Amino acid sequence: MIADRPITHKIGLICLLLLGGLIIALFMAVAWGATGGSLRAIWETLQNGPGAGGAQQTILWRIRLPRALLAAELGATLSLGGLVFQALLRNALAEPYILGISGGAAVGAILGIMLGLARYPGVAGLAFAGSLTIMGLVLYLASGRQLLRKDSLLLAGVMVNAFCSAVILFLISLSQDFRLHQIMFWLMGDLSLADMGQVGRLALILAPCFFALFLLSHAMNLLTMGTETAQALGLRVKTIMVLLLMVTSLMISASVAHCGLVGFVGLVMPHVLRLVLGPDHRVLVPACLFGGGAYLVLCDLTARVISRQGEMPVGVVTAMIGAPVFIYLLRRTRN
Amino acid sequence: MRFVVFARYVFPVLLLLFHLERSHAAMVDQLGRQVAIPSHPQRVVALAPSITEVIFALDRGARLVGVTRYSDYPPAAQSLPQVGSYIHLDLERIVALAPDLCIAVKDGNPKAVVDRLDAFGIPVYAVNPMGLESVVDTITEIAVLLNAQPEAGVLVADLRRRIQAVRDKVAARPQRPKVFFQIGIAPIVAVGAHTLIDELIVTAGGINATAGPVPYPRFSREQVIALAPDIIIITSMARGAAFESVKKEWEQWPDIPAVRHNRIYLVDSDIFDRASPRLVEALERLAGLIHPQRPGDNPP
Amino acid sequence: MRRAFDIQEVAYGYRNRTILRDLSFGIKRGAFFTIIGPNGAGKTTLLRLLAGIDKPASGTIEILGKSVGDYRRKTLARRMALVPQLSQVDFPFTVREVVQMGRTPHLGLLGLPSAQDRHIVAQAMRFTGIDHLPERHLSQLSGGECQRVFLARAICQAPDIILLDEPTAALDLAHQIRIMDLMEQLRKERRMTVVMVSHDINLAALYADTMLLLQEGQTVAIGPPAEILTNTSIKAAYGCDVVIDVNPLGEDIPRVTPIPGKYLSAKKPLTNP
Repeated sequence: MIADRPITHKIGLICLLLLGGLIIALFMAVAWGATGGSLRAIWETLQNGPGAGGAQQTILWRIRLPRALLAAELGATLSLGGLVFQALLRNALAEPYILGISGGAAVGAILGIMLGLARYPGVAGLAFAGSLTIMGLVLYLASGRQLLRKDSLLLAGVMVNAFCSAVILFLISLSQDFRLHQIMFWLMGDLSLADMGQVGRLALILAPCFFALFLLSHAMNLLTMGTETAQALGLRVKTIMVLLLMVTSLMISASVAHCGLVGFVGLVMPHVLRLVLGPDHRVLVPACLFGGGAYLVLCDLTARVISRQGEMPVGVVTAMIGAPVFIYLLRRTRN
Repeated sequence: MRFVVFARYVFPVLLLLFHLERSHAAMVDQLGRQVAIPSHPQRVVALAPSITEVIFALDRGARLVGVTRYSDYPPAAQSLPQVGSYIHLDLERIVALAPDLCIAVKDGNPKAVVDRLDAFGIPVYAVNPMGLESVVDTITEIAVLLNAQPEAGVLVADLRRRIQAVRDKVAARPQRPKVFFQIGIAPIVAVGAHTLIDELIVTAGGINATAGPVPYPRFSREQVIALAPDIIIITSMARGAAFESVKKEWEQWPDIPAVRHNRIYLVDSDIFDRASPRLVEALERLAGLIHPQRPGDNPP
Repeated sequence: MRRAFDIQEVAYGYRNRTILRDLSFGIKRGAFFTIIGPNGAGKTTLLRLLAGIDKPASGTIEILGKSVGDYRRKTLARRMALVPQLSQVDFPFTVREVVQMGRTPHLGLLGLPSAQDRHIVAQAMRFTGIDHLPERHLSQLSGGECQRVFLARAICQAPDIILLDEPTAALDLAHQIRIMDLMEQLRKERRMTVVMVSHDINLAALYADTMLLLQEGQTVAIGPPAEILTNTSIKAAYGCDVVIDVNPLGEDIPRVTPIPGKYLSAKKPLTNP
């Protein structure tokens, strides 16, 4: 049988376009930064490859490039996370943090920072453990028959998230002055310490997750029609939902552990892409992967160059761009 | 064959080691890390305001190429390029300055940044001054890094003399007033034992009313009233106007001896919380507040 | 010939609440079977059990001669389609995209349709009379159009059995008849078995060959409309008095008319005198 021309063509075309956008964004992020250098000098530095010495070389290849790549990974993960949760909760305004994944990861990471652990593997590991614990708790609270109801996951998530916020505030009130700053920066999202090892380790976790989500993309289409319909169309709904939750919480908590909390990306990107490209998840999964990646690379670039005296956390930029865009979209769709 | 191996591999390595030996000295910093320090560092980045002050006090300001935000003393430091705040250092700006030495503080500078600088081959010497005595020692150590031993000799001798003068003065005063040292306004934060400020209070002839295991404990208003401090000192983290309103707040509670005797003071937080030579100034000021000059005292 | 459904001593409930008890009946292939009964009688629950969405607490349900538990979900979806109650879809899928989802049980993981699948989709849309709206979003459709989209999706599954949960609720008269006519045509032309939950006794009686009257999870009566729609059975199930006469459209079609006035009470006036 011949595959359907329109849909496969659409997927291919959009992948190509957004991948191009991502590459341009990455190039801009490597070329621009807080410290100067003409485009020509940067081009020469890039052509010389990462091997050569010198401050400019170090900045381009060992500071800006890993940072841009980490931003791309984070952006892709958060956008996809938002996409999945919107399908799971059948609510186009859901975002990946809503089920307490962020709360759990934050509690774990802050504990790690307070114990004075290294960012990797100490803080990262604890964040991961925290988010998986919370995910398990949410699943347990919403288990059985309840899982299939539209709002039970949402309610369980909101409750657990509120509890986590209380724990975070409690931990912050216990923490010492100089650690407090670190925690605050982490809570606002921070990519400044990216290195290639980190980028690689994260990619090893994320790549299989991305692939799995693409394979599950049509299942997400069916889920948006409601669990009964999805089941009647031949989907093993409970299995698929648990699978989606596991994959998403794995990739979100891994990213959160490395980069801190960056809000609004998971809310805004899937929404914008859905408005432009339509609701088919077979298109949206690759679109979120490349488009979300490019978006966060540009946000992080903004965060780096906008402040003269030192940088601003990327979470501040995403929130400042994201919130107004989101309100605009919301009003537009309402009308 | 063996000779070829020697000539091709071992000899260059030996040569390299010899070369390093001449231009770099392997030193152990205050955290026990091995750091290869150039013998005459020319491009130094100070990763905290206190380090900047020490370097200027040693008359090596000309070697500084970068400082952190809030490095406002001496005024010459304000014109130097900034590399972020000491809590949130900007890696790219540091590297762009091509420093041959960075000097870091353990409390505040994130270890992750220090590790990255290490990985880029930029030597980072970390200090961790824990008390008055070790601040003075740290000055001597930084002097060794920056070839400023003669300057350090004069500076350190002066600091030690002034510290001793305070000690002598308070030894003659038998009473030890209870001091509530407030570094945070909302919430009320004071200082515990084993902090620099605690040591300053004790050396200046007072008792730290909030000496306890937590370094920067929080207090409620009623706890402060129960402590009944003789003196309340507020640092200027939130400046002038705020001080007046905080002072007014306390003045509602005449049960507190400090309020009754009108002994609520404002001090400049910069000289109290930076491990720099100006800490001795802070000590002298504190001693002046706790044990004011009385008619008939010998002038110091 | 195997029956479409064979239900043996089925019971269902959760916690202390029993919803269905001791139900045993069969549905012949090619039947037009409607389930009626008052609110809370367990009609929708029974339909969910038939659809294999929920599992009975006890008893067995066989579909086309095979226990429902022995089916793979996807295989079951090729035998049986479900048209659920109208509910809002928040995602801006187009009519064509929604109808195409009906082909899912016949396709791979990504649900990429072949030319033949697209032909089937177009046919189903023409059949249900929505072929002029392929690019419209569900949110832009009327209730009747929406219901026909879901019907077209069910038809695309090419099932032997089609289950519907109150498909005519909230539709105007013309749309009610249109949906029911479509079902009758599917039953006649494609030999589909139609099982429908309905609130509208008279509309159901016009089409059904067998009706099941439920009350508190139990069978009150089962059989052809003319046999089970009696004063006694309606009184037993709904607790109200009705007049039953013969529908002018046909000898064997009963017509049920409730008698007003039962709850008009002088004892409980709205305003105090």
